[in-house]
Amino acid sequence: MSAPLFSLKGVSVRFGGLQALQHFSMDVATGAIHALIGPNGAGKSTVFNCVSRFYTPTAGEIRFDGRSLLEAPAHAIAGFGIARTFQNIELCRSLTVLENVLIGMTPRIPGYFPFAPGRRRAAAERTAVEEAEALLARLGLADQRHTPAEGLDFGGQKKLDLARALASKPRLLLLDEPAAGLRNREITTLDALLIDLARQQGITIVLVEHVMQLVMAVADRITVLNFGRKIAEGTPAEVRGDSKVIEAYLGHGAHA
Amino acid sequence: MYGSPSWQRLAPLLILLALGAVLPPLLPQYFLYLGNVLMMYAVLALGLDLLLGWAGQFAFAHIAFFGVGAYATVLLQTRLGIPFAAAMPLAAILAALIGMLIALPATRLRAVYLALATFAFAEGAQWVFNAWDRVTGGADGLRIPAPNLFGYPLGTDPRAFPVMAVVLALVIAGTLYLTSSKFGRSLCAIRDSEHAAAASGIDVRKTKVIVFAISAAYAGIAGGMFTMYQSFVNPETFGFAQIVLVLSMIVVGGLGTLPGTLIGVVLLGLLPEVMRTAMRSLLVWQELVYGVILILAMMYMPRGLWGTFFRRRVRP
Repeated sequence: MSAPLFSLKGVSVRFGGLQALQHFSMDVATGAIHALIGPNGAGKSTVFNCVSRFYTPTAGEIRFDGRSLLEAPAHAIAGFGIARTFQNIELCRSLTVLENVLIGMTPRIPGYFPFAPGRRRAAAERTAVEEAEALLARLGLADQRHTPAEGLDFGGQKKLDLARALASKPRLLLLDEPAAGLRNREITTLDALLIDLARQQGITIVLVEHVMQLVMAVADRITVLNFGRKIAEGTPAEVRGDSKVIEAYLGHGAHA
Repeated sequence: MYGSPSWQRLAPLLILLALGAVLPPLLPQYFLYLGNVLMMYAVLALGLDLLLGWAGQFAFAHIAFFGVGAYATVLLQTRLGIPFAAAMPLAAILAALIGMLIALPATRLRAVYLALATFAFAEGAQWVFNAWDRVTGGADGLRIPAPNLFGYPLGTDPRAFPVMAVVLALVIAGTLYLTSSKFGRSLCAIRDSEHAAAASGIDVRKTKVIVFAISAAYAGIAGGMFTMYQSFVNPETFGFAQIVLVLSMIVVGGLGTLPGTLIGVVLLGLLPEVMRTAMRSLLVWQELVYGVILILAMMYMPRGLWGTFFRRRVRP
């Protein structure tokens, strides 16, 4: 097997007296959909927040495409090709749907600071708007592109969070509970979308999710966390039958 | 929406320039004075709005940079013999540099801590204006010599008026350019969600430092404008009442909106004049009146006049 695209090695995070992650390791292969599951408070979002560089682990290493992420600042992560969504949806509420997607494109729009010649800048903006509109059309948000993000319903905001992440054309997509709170029909659409992203566009996906229907349908591999430690890892079939996993979810003595 | 400002958006600026050229012989001096006051406040308010309305940083050091701009514009001319045309931009750059220095520690703070730290800085600056007798003239203030712009003497209301209009037009054009870009979007992103901004590749800290510096430069320019039509400057000009007034302007007009800011400037900028003439008995309560207006606006009109009555129009 070739080197994994994305890997965590021995990552530990401590908040005061709470050991949020303990010597956690995980390898994600290129093009895979890798689910990260576990009960509430197991440390799943902590993993993402370490990758985003919002938290700095007390020990360990995070590598993406041969590069150590822990040496980079938070804003550089998107430029490496890593995008994420947020469990409690982080949108720019007052901005329109389209503007939110344009914010996601930040690493790809040239010239960080405004002192670019007007005409070249206008051309770059026009291209960006066209791309953003195409992306919104694909996710079914085209009609609402000029609505402020706070005006969308919950499902719409979830989609927009995803659209913003996809706008950077990531190679690695970290999804934090994309199915939470969605209706069944919406979950089916999400299934198809994730599979399309991974298989057709070659985007590697790490998926934190509680909705098992989605996890079992799309994941190539599953890692299970409990109290900050990895308790199981394998294919969906292997993990489903693992006694430690059943115990973590249902409590001791709950073997079916 | 984004890209270069279009001609339609620049048309009001041409009107502003035309008015600047045509009005001085037509209006009585008092109205020209009011116009100058409003144009100066407009620059001050646009600068505060970039920081507070666009970037969501509740920072109140603005009034100190206004003071730095005014004193530096005067002192660079009187002490170093630098001509006005160079002294005013240099003063703005000085304000920006100090703004950047303040921003480096201040951007580590958030919300109320940032407000307190920057407020303390503004109070400290006023103390310096008061105590640094040999340079600022202390509490007695400084006489402002009539600035000379390439042989065109300023210093009176009718003479300053067209130049003030040119400066304001340039500042508005600059604001349109700054806000209708990736930079403007980055500011909004930081205001609404620093996490989303950082995860989208926006350097939150750097952007904050830059907007602090730009905002301070605006205040410095407003300080220079002050010296164009006033003949005297003292530390009282840069007191707490001023920051409350400028804050009220942008909140009443509508945070983060350029037309809203200008509306707020006109409404609240005229208020002290109205109070001085028509409601003399209320004059001692001036600061209280601003405070009440500010609170009422925040309670009943959080989006400001512009945001409430002209819902964000979408330009395709």
